[in-house]
Amino acid sequence: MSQSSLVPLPLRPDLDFIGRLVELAGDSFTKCYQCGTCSVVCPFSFQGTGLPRREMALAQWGLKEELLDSPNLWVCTTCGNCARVCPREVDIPGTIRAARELFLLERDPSRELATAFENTSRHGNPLGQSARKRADWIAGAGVEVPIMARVQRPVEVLFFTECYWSYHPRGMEAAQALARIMAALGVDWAVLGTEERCVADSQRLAGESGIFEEAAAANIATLGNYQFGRLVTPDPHAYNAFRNLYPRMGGTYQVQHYTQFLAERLADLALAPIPSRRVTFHDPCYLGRHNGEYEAPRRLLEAIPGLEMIEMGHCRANGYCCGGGGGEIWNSGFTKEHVDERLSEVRVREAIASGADVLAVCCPFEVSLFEDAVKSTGHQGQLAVRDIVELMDESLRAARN
Amino acid sequence: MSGATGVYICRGCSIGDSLDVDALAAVAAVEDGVAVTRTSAAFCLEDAQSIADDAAAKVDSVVVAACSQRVNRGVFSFGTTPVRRVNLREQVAWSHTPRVDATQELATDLLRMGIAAARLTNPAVPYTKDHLRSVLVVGAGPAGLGAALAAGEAGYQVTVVDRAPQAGGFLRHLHRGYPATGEALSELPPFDPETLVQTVADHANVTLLTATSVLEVSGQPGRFRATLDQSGERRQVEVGAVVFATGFQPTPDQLFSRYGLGELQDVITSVGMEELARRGEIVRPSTGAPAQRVVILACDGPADSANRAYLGNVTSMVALKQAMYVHERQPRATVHIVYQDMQTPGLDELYYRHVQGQRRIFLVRGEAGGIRLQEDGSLRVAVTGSVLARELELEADLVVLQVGMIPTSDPQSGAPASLHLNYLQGESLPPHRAGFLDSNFLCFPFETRRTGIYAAGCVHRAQDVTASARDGAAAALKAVQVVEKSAQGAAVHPRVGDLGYPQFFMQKCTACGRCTQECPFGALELDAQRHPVIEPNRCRRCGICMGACPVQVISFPDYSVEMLSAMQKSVELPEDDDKPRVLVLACENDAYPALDMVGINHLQYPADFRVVPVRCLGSVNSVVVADAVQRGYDGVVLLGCRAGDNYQCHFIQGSELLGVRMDNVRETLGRLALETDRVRVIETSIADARALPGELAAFASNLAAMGPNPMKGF
Repeated sequence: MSQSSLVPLPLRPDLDFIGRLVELAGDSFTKCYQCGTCSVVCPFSFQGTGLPRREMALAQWGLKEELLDSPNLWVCTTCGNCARVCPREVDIPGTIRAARELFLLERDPSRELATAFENTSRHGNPLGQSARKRADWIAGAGVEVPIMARVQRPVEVLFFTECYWSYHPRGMEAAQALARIMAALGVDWAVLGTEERCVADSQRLAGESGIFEEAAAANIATLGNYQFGRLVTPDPHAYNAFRNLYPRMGGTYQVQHYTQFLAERLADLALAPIPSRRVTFHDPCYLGRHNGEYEAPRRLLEAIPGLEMIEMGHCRANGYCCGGGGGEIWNSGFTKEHVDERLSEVRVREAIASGADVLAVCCPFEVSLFEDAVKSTGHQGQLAVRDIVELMDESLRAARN
Repeated sequence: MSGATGVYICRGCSIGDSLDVDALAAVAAVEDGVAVTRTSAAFCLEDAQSIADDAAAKVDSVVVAACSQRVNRGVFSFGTTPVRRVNLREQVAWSHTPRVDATQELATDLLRMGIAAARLTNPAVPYTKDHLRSVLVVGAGPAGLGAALAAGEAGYQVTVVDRAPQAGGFLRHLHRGYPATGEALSELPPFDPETLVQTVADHANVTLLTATSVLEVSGQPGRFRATLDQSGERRQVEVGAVVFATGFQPTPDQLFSRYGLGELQDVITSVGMEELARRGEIVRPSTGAPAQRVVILACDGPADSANRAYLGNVTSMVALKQAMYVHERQPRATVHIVYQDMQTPGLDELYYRHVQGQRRIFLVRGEAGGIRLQEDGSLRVAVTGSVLARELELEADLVVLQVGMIPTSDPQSGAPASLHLNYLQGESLPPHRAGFLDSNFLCFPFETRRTGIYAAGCVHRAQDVTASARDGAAAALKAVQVVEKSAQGAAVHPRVGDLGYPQFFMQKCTACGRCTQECPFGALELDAQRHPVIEPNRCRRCGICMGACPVQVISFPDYSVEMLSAMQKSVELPEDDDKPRVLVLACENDAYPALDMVGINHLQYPADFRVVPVRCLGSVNSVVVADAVQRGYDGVVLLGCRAGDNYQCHFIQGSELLGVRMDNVRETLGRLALETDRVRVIETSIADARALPGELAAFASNLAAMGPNPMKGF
């Protein structure tokens, strides 16, 4: 904070700032009654910085500089648990997002965030990888993965791989596992390959709506060249954008998260027992809380013989955040400066305490975040982090052997 | 005393499966005075007419041994013939093991008790002398005027008085109201005291007297005599009932000295704000210029001396409304409301949101500290305890303090408004919580502790103009009700329609005066010999006087110490160690329903308890308990309502008085060298019914540990 907290803070509302926030986020934040329920369920409550009730009060009172100075603004993951419990139904994540957008008009983001933004603009992915290598994962799948530009006919399923399954080593493994399952099911499917661009929903949540809109226009144009029955993606953030934002921009698709797609086809899969393990599931914020899907991932896990399902205390609508949402996946250095513990570490401890051997996930950010957290909390060998698709692939392979 | 009794035992609702009904009929047939005994598969469905025929021709009283006295009242009502109900359904068949000796013995005892009670039930002779169809309304503010209109419209003659020279009350100090439910949120409804006062004054049934105060009120519902003083001239009026609506006073300015009220010119109260708004612009008193930065302090924190209980829903809304006064007049002005506890129940929440939605009105939850005057003449208000966890500072041209509302009935307000009742128990209306006049907000609103006098408006509870007017109308209808009941000689709440009232056997009265002191409603006066005299229409028929009398000279035609004694004596007390007998005196308002609830839920408790319904635990004379213990009951349970601050007693202090009387009972137990634990008071309510069987069983096992009462058989 720029000013000493010993000096009384004058309440001089910046009415123009309030007006711009209302334009971007609606006026629900003006109805906050400062009860603080949001801060109780915020995953950062342990830090005691008052996130997000502090920021909502600053927004409501039009204290622009204090709000833009607040580190909390860039710590928030927009996980949305606050909005779930808000008695006044304030769109807290939306208001944080709007404040970030106004911040970026005047100030620079953290270096790492700036890099992610720049990579997305320049390369079509936040990792800074070459756009030409976007389909390289296909080579290791062991089955044929059709590319949309080559099949030259309508397909049933267009699979939107997104960046982390395209480039991240652990993501590529998951994508390859999915390809094998698609082959086993005999699905008529294809991917966009190098034509695909980052959906950039997390960049939008980090305040960069320009990048998002540009990427959306490009993707909508590309998708418009092809005919397909439905759009399936492994990334809950992309799913969120396809479902809730693309329709407003002219891109209306029948979209599913991969867990939803597979849950409908469980009967067609010959799943065999895998070595018995106790598994717990981490609900992705943008699949669960933001889009209401809690069952599909659980149905997949429950269908795999050998797995015993355990729920953690924070699950379903009250699920904890992995720490990667809202652009925070690229802002961990900043967050580390302001917060004592990573959310992924808190979550891994909860998974360990639940007695699980496997932490199952279904969001591309989570595998690497949690694998790092397993190491940093000193639990190597005690907890495996696996995407659900990997567990299913293992079960299918057990059936073939 | 009744002659022939008819006994009607029902087999329905599983009573017949649980009990040997023929055996019960055989027991009844040989009891004194029983002329007819009948049984039926279900009296309520097919055979109620046979009872009615008997009542018309053969019997003087009726005993219906079937379901609880709380149900089927209409079915088992036979003109003026007294009816006594014996509860074989909820309290026997549904709550005890069927077809065993212990259950049959329980039913037999209850039946004998009912027959004994019926023998001692006499028809009531109602008191119907006083029933003036008129109302005195004291206070001509929104509530009083509302009451006057409602009573006038009901055809009653109304005298409405106000000590002020002009009617209208606090309404004349107000600029506008806030939107009531369903009204447009963006408009503040205007008040029109002139038209309202004129409407009341012009009403054919209403006489409006201003500059008039009440010097004295005597009498009882149906005929109160009021002495009025109109500008020095005395007037007498006789009315059937009274509505007391003297309103509130704002909290005194001294309580706001910490905010500089009286010292800083630009610090005003919410009353001053109404005045400003009525005059036009919201201006700074110091300069006369429109205020551009207004801070409204709700003064509603727990530590705030101006904060008073039960008024947040009014002052919160006033704070929001006054913010809109500024907003409407000076659209570029900013308003900050500092509050700790915004109370906008129900649809008032919509108005709260509406005000929050104004771009230049800000709500800051926190505690206002001191106010400092700056060199440029502006004010600085410090705010702590906000969600920012650091001190905030507000710059202001004008600070508005929300004042509290003190009911004029509050004795702590110095000189409370009074009817100057000419009652033995004193001239004031006893207040309930926080100085408000009410005896129980939930169960019997508007009832003060003086029958026939009803509280309305801000002496009843803190409320706004719209609610006060409605409150006045409701109180007026209670006033109409009490007069109409007086015409029938019948009681009002809770024993609505009860015709009997206490009779005094004066030859034995020792003129101790205890009954006159303990009556919760001040129904008893003293005559020249200091003997009690009842004003029957003030009486609520609780029987507390009957419980109080040390020489047992007070009784009702259908309820007496003699009757309770006869009931306890008709229970057989076996000498076997394994058959303890416990007398339960159960308050019929909450405890008896709780026992019924136990049966309705088919919960079980030991068959050792013999339940006698009583009107109030306060009506239990200690002699009844002492006699029971002396006769050989192993224990006595007094089952009643919660006493104390959150009392549940329908008669205010019955449960509390019982506590005092228990000392007499303990003395008796001591004299007999018996354990004091043999007599226990259990407070219960219908909501606690599930816990009741456990408490009764625990009491029974405690008794078992003590062994049988050694007085048994003497």
